[in-house]
Amino acid sequence: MTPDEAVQEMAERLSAIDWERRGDQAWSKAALVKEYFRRAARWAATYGCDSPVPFFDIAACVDSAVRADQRVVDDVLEKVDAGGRNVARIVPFILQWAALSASAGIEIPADLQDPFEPLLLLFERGGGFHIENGEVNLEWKSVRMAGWRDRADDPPIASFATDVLDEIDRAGSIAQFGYVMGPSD
Amino acid sequence: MVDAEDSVAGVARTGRAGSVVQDGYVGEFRPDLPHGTDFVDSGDGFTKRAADAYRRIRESADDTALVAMNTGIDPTVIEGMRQNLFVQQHDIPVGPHRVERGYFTPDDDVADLWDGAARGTLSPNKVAEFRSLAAHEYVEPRFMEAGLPYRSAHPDSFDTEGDRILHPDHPGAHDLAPNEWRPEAPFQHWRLFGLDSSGLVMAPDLSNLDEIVIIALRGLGR
Repeated sequence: MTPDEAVQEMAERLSAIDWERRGDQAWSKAALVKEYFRRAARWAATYGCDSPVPFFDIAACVDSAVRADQRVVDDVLEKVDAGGRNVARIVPFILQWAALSASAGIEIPADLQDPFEPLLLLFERGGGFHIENGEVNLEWKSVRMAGWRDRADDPPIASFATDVLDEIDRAGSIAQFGYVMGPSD
Repeated sequence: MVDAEDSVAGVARTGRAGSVVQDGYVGEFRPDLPHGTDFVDSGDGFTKRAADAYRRIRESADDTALVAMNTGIDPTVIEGMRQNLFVQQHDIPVGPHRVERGYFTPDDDVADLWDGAARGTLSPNKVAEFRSLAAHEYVEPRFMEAGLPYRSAHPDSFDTEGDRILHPDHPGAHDLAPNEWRPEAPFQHWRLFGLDSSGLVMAPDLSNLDEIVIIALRGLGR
């Protein structure tokens, strides 16, 4: 797959996301946010990325010469407008990563993983998130961004399987509210 | 009218040289925090660009009239929003029984949204997004004035992982303010606190927010 094809494929994934806010998956999304922080922290440490915030252009830090087609980026930004201002900032980073990861000559170190896959899964579960006052807000639960680099040595998420993520939500909802929240709650 | 709008737009950014905070500005820094920052989170998790923008907006009282004109929102609401987001310090729970006092952690996207509103460059969708943010940020301090914390520092408001969770027994001002991200149902979450929001509608210019706060406080027995 060429970088352009990888960017286009990612553009299609992002464009298909339903951004309507829902809180019933807050607990699995928190786990996915933390997995993103863990992976981003490891990339930042390996390549000396100096971003103070966890959501940044990781591809540019690794190799700023490889860029996604700006026309595709702009087109996707129009389609993800419903995701809100934070999503609009992050989506280009995901597309840039798609371009980099498909480039010839790019070898991902064995101890690093695709940083944006947890965020993509989070988005594809529906509803996105927003950042407010230093926290990633997932409706019923929030994850602080401060200290995100300290997560580099956290254990990785156990599984991305849908049933595993659903069980995280079921257990989290019962622990917090005493019942299982639905999408419209 | 066009001349007036042009004049206002011209002032929007170019005319605020006196309010730009220069690098090295230390007037409001907090020496008790490790990084000497004036924001909650001690300098971690936000950019210098966002911090500079928040400090600039903090000193830019002239923004209020510009933002109100460009968005059609009641100026009182805009100034309340500016005070809450940028001007006032708050007690922010960062863990069970752990509270930091400081300005809200800066966010590049909030700063950009405010600046776009001040310049009059927001798209209709972004104006709607700004309106939802304004409603939230205006109402939040009204609840705090009535004695609610920004958010609860009670241990029940944090889970076993140390993450903040919404707990029905410990509502905070933030929790009760209109949900910015559900503009079609901004008070739906009130039912988690046993509050009835049926029939509540925010006025297009947000001029009825004080009445909505009173309804919530009455429901809470305050």
